[in-house]
Order: sequence, then C-alpha cells, then structure tokens
Amino acid sequence: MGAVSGSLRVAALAVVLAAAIALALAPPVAAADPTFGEAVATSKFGQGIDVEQPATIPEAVRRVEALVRTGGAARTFLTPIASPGTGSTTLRYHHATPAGSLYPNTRVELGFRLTFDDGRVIDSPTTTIRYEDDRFAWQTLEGPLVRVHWVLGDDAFGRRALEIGERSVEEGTQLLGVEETERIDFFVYGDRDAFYDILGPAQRESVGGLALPEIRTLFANIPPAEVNDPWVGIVIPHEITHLVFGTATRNPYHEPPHWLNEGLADYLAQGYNAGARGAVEGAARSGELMPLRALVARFPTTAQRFSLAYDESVSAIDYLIRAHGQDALVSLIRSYADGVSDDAAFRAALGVDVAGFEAGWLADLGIDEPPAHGPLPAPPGPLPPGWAEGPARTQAPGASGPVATARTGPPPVEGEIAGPIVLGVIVVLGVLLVVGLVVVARGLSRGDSLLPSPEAAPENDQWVGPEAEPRPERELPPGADRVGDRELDER
Amino acid sequence: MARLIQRASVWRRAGALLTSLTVVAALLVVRGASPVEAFDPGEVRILVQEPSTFDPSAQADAATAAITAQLYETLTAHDASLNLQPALAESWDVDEDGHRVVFHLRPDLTFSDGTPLTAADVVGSWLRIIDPVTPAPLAALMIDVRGARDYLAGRTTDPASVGLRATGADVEVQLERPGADFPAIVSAPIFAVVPPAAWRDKQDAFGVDAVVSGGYSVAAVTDEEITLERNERYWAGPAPIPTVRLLLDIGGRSPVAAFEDDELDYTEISLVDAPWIAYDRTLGPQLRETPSLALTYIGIDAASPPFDDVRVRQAVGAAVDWRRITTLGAFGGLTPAVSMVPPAIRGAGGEDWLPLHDPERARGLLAEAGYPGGAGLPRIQFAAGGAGIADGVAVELLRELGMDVELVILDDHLARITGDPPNMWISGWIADYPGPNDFLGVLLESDSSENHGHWSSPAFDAAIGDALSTRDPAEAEVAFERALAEIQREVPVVPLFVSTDWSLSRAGLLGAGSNGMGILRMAGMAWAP
Repeated sequence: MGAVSGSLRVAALAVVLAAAIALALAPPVAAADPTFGEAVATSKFGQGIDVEQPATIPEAVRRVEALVRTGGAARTFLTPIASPGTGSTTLRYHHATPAGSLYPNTRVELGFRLTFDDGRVIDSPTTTIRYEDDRFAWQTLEGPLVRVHWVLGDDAFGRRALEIGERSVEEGTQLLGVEETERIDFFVYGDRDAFYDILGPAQRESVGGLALPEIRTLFANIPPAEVNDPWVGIVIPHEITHLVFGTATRNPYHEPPHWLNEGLADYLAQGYNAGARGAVEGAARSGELMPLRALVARFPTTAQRFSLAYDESVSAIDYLIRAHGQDALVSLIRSYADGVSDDAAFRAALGVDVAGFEAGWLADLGIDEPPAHGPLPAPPGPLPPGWAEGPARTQAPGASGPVATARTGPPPVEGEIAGPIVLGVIVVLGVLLVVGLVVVARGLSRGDSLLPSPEAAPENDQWVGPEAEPRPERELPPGADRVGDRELDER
Repeated sequence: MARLIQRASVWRRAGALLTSLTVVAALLVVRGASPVEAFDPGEVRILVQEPSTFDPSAQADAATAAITAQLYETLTAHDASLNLQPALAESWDVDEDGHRVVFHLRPDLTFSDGTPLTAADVVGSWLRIIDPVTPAPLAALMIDVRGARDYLAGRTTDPASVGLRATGADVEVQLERPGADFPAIVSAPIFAVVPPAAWRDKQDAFGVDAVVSGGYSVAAVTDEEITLERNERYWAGPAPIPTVRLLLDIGGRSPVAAFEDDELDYTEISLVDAPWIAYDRTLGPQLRETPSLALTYIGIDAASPPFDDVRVRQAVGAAVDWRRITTLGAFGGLTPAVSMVPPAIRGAGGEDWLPLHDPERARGLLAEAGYPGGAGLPRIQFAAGGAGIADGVAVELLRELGMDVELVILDDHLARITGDPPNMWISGWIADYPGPNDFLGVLLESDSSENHGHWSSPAFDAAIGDALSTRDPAEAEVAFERALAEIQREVPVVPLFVSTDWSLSRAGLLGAGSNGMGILRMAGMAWAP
C-alpha cells in the first residue's frame, strides 16, 4: 500500500512537473481580445458629444483612449480616459464642443482604443453621429446639388437661396473645369449672434459667410428682410466658389495663395467692380497698396486693409484674365491639384513665376513695387553693468570670459535723442496741419459738415470702414504650417 | 449692414480726423509730452502662454522658460545678439585642459528679500537639477559635470561626489568633457539660482511673493494675467519698468488685433500675419523679426517594432523626398531644415544631412527587414498634431512603401512622447544655449533624458564624446559632422523646419529684442524717454 501510494505520488508529481515544464516551454499566448458592445453617441450643440460603449477589458491593457474622427479631417484625435480595470464595464467619453471648435453638419466618428502591454492596438467598433445645430427648427429645400437649410423666412426665401446656390455651383464648376457630384449643404442663419456662435469667439465683425470644403458645407448670415439685397447674390456665389476651388486644388502638399482663392471667389461673385477698382487705384496712388506676397496667407485685421486685400485680390484675377486669358486661370488653379509650388504652377500656366506675374500686375496699375515698412530691429534698451553691446561673437568652447567687462559706450543722453525727435515731430505736425486744413477747406467750400453724415447719399459703390458690408470669410483646415485663420489665432 | 459712403465724404472725414489728430498731437508737444505718453510708463503688457510652473528646474517648455527666466537669474546670459554675458557671475575662468571652470560671483549679491545669494545657493540649485528623486526634465544639460550621471541615476547619493564646489564667492565645476562649453550651458533657465527654501529645505518656494534672484517677482496670478513687480535688489539694478503684466487671455482674439487696439505692448505673432504687417504703415515699423534657434523635426521610436529595425527607419528616410515636401510645406517664416542643427548655430558645419531620396532603395530595405511592399507592417501611429506637412509624408510612405500611416492628434502629446512614444511624432526643440550639442547629444545620446525615441548608437555617442572632448573648434566641428552623418545613416529623427520668430513691439519700447531662444529679457526693457 505504501509502495503503491508512493508510486502514485511519484506519478502525480511527474504529471505536475511535466505540465509545468510544458507551460514554461510553450510560446507566450497573447492576451485575450476585448469584446465590445454597440457604441451610442448623443450630441448637444455648444456643449458636446457623449459616447458610451459596453466592453469587456482583458488583462494587460496599458492604455485606454477615446477616439474621435471628424468629417473631412485626416486626423484621429486620441485622449486617454481613466482605466476602467478589467472585466465588464462601460467605456464613456464626453467630447466638449465649445463655440467654434466643431462646425455643425460635421460627421463625427467615435469609439475607443485599447493598447496592450505587448504593443497591440485594438479599436472598438465606432459609431458616427452628425453634429447639428439643434437650437433651431430648420426648414430644408433640396436641389440637384445644393441643400438649403434656413431658420427664418418663408419658402420664397429658401427658393431664392437655393436658386443662387445651384447657379453658383454650375458657374464655378464650368469655369474651373471640375465636377461637383457630392451634395453641398448650405445653412442660412437669420440672426447674427446665432451665426457667430458657430464661428467661435473673436471673429471679425464683418464675417458674413463661411465655406468648409472638407465637410461640403456653407454657412451664411442672411436676415429674411435682406434676402433680396444685392449682397446676398454676392456672398453665396463667393462661398460656393471657395468650395469648388477647394475641390479643384485639393492636394496634401501645398495650399494655393490666399489672394488667389479670395480673388477668384470675388471675381466670380461680382467681378472687378467699380468699388474695388476705385479702392485699388486709390491705394496705388497713395502708396498704400500691398503686394500680392503680403496676401499669401492671412488678410489684414483692420477693416479697411481687410477690404483692400479682397479688392487687390480680385484686381489681380482681373489682370490675370486680361493678360493671360481665362484658360490660363483655369490651368493655374487646376495645376495646384498636383501639389506643385506657386512658382511651378504659375510658370506652367502663365509662363512667368509669381514674382513675374506680380511685376506685371503692378505695372498694369502703373506703380513700382510698394515699399515695406517693416520689420525693423528692436531699439536697444539699457544694458546691465559689464555687458558689452555689439554683434554676436563666436567663442571657442569653454573659453574664459567675459571678454569685456567695460561698457562700450555711455547710455543715451536724453537730450541727444529727444531733441531731434521733438524737432521732427513739430515739422511733421506742421505739414499734417496744413494738409488737414486744406482738405477740410475743400470740403467746407462744397458745403459739407465737419461731422460724419451717415445719411450721405452714395456716389459710388466703395466699401469703407468697419461697418462695411459683411465680407465672406474662409476657414482652412487646422495645420500649424498651413495658411489658416482659426488655428493660428489661438495661443 | 452695408453702407455706401461718398468718396467726398470719406475725404472730408479724413481731413477732419487729420486736423483733430494734429491739434491734439501739437498740444502734447507744446506741453513737452511725447506720443508714448499715451502709455503708462510704469508698466508693459506682454501676451504670453500660461507657464506650467514657476520653478525653473521643473520647466520643460519654452513658454515656461520665458517666464521663469524673469524670476530667477543664471550665472551667465545670452543677450539679444547671442553674446555670452556675465550675469550673477562677474567672470569665469576655464583651466587650460578645460576640465575645470570657476565662476566668480559678483560681490554683495542678494535675493529679493535681502538675504545673501552665495556660491552655496548656486551649487544647491544645480544639484536640484540632477536630484534622482525629482530630476529636472532637462537634466541632460548637467551630465557633463563630473559625477552627475551617477548621482542622477542614483548610483551614488553623496552630493559631494558631484563635481560642484562652493568656495567663498566662487563656484568650481569639474567637467567630464572639456569641450562642453559649460559657461554657455549655464545660461539656460534651468540653471537659475533659487533660494535655500527651495534647494535646501525642499519647499515649494515658487509663485506669488516668492523670493527671487531675477529682475521680477510674481505679485499676483489670475486666470487672465500674471503680474510681475520688479526686484529692487536685482543685481543689475531695479528694472526700468516697475510692473510687467503678462496677459494670458485676450478672449480668443488675434494678438494682432489686441495690439492694434492698444491692449498689448509686445506680443509674438503668427508667421501668417507677418507678410501683410510688413506693408502696413502703422504696424510695419513695430514688426520685429528674429531668426529662431528652433527646429521642428520628426522623432521615431527606435526601441519598438517596426522601427527598432534600422532598415525600416532607413526605408522611411529614403522613401520621402524631404527637400520637396518641406519646401512645399514651408510658408513664410518656415525654412526647410537640412540638418538637426539650425543654421544660426555655428560649429556643426553647413552640410546637407537629410536622408537621400531613393524610393527604390527604400523598398529594398523594407523587403530586407521582412516587410516587402509593406506586408506585415503594423499600422504606424504618427502624432503630427495639426502640422500640414504630415499629410504629404503619409501619402508618400503609403505610395512608396505600402506603409499605412495613421495621423493622430494626441491630447497628451508631450506626456506621451516622454513616457510612451508613438511610432513617429512631430516635435519642436528650441535651443537652451546656442551650441550644436543642444540639438545633438542632448536629444540623441544614448542615456540622455531627452532621447525619447531611445535610439542608441555607439558611433553617434563616440562622435559626441569626441566633439566634447576637444577645445579645438575645428576638431569639434569634424566630430559633430560625424554625429550628423550617423543620424543621416540611421534615421532616428528627420529634421523638417527652422523658423523665424515674429513679434509686434510698441513704438517707444526699448530693449524688446528676443535672442532666438524664446527669452525676452524684461529687466532690460524701458520706455523711450
């Protein structure tokens, strides 16, 4: 019995040992895969999107992240969420959407990503939700390509907006030789505050429209009472042109110059009209004209210069068509789709590089290249004792220092600087005073008042001042090295 | 609402405005005033990014360094022309063999509370950087001090084993490598001197009303503003401008618009605004341009598959036409980089060190590594933020290698890169001091705390060792070029852009010149008399 028992024990021990050895020698088994239920998302405009998803989390997960992909963006946003531990759980994430961070009509895909200790990455099945401006009961009217959504106003309002939109798409696609087959959504707000809520804080007061090619959506602020105003027939084609331009030039390498985009949009919307022509010619005469190289990216912030930037842009397009023909314009725009540089695109289409084209435009306006007023070096400030002022020196690594301990020159004496400045200011002020009095005298001789007169009868179509008509604006996709507005304003 | 305005009316208003301005300005002159009197000469308003800390050794980003540098002073400093200048140290001596540097502190230095600032404070502040329990993020800058590596790694706990000595008013530093350019390195903000409460008593001695060694102290902090008041005991004398208001929030507006509205006196601006501002009669003369000692580059996790295989990294390097893609992606103040060392930093040669474009070789390398045509490769995570150039990189890697690249925006970008990096990422690095090693050894030496991709190359380490072991600049340059060649060969990183800093500085503000390292010396600013 004892012997049998001993044999059994030995056998049992052998089995256990064999099992242990087998386990030890077996290749490592990957951690079990997670399981997921269906993800469900809900959204509230201006607040956020909530997503939750049942899941079973196995061992060896080192990171859990929420995953967000917004329509039109080539990026996946990942943010870590608190570890839910192992076993059955519900993963939850709130994606905040403060004003301006996510545009209505954007399709948003949400889910979760698990990263394992061994580096494996597993994404949950995602859900997609359309982020909507749910503050209003939208009316909708649909055409062959454009779908108009509006809040205030009757059917006639919607029909007019739709008719302008469809016509603009047709004209833009014909000119640029592209085909638009995917629907374009056009949201018309009737209230400035509501419209600005989608743009976000700190927008220019004159923004009247917004085109987002990446989500094929336009926004405009058109109060019902103004639907028949002439500017409505301008802002809609302007924004639609941006969208068509985006389709025509899309490439992953290089953005066309901002002036080309805006100039074309203005040209197709209203041509190079008398107002723009007057502004450009006036700026050329007064030396205030900005060269095109100043307008490749963001336009000026001041209202008058902002407006002049548009006028110059359309002037350049007008010159381009007069000097090189419409086919050259189409060729130029379409060449950007190949991801070429500005110079390469201009050379291929026009036979001159950008500088050559700009020189021709300036010559057409009868002026030389405008002078730059900056940048200027920072005026020096007071130096600490022992600091030597001067150009950069190259020191050998580890050299003893400092080289000089004495001040290289005395600090500025007030009178030496202030004297010439005061004298200069007096001279300049004298000249300004004379000029100002002459201008006023000329005005008064025609019976004008010294005070501004808002009711003054119009003599031409010039847009002036910050109260000017809403100007279309265009936002570009985020990109630290791309031309854009929103993303580069933020600090 | 649109308004149509007569041209004559416009001219009339312009004339009236001109006259009014002239009269007002003339009155100011008659009273002996200058136009800058419109500003409060007792303060300057500067737009900044919110700092992550006021502790100089805890900072790891340029925005924080720009603020801590106003609060805590270093022994040396680089002025706006990048000259190395004496600060708390009146002078310094370097031994013939370069292994020993002695800094001589200025006499009678004090902290802002009047207590003496001594050589012991310098040593204590510098030991905080390599505290093995809470090392500074930029501790790599200290590792050329003898014994610092072992102390940092916890292999020794005796601070006396570190080559730092306080003797009277002198701070003696023993260096492992004589070419380390230590007097320039200690101008970096992490080497600032903090009071004993911080280094000796281990207190959180930073923030409002904290004792400082720099030109200013923190008087108040709100969500909108950090208010600095000048340190009346500052070694260079009280700053000319008593109060600095560091604005953190301008309501989401453009800095340019806030500057135009006279809400700011100095602000950095986006490179996309600089082109038009240059031609603006009012803003143009207030525009400042500074070549930045900053580099944008792609980092690669060389310690994890698939990039732990050098052939896969080499394939990435050869698949993309970096010259073309950076030229097309560059805009305004961005300049395509051809080396990890920005051109404004001398001493590393001027060669082109980008990987050579050879897609056929790239495909061959990938096949050799076991991924022919990209088969078997995992999806590559590329943390690119909003950088547009990444789109082109992803397109080229897919086209040439069949490499599926997912562009991601990481909410915790910096933390992830530091602790658990993705396969590839875009990062920026601004010089701590204007020397090549700040972009080479500090970022890529095998045991550097900033080597987030964990690339390890004995050849690179040897080249850096040689560069830092000589006091002959020509020899150092040759060694640095060997290091750059190794980067070009093994592709642990790919340089993308160098940049230009643009800012607006109010007319009449003197001394508001940045040195390209993101540091504005506010104690050197003054309003024109």
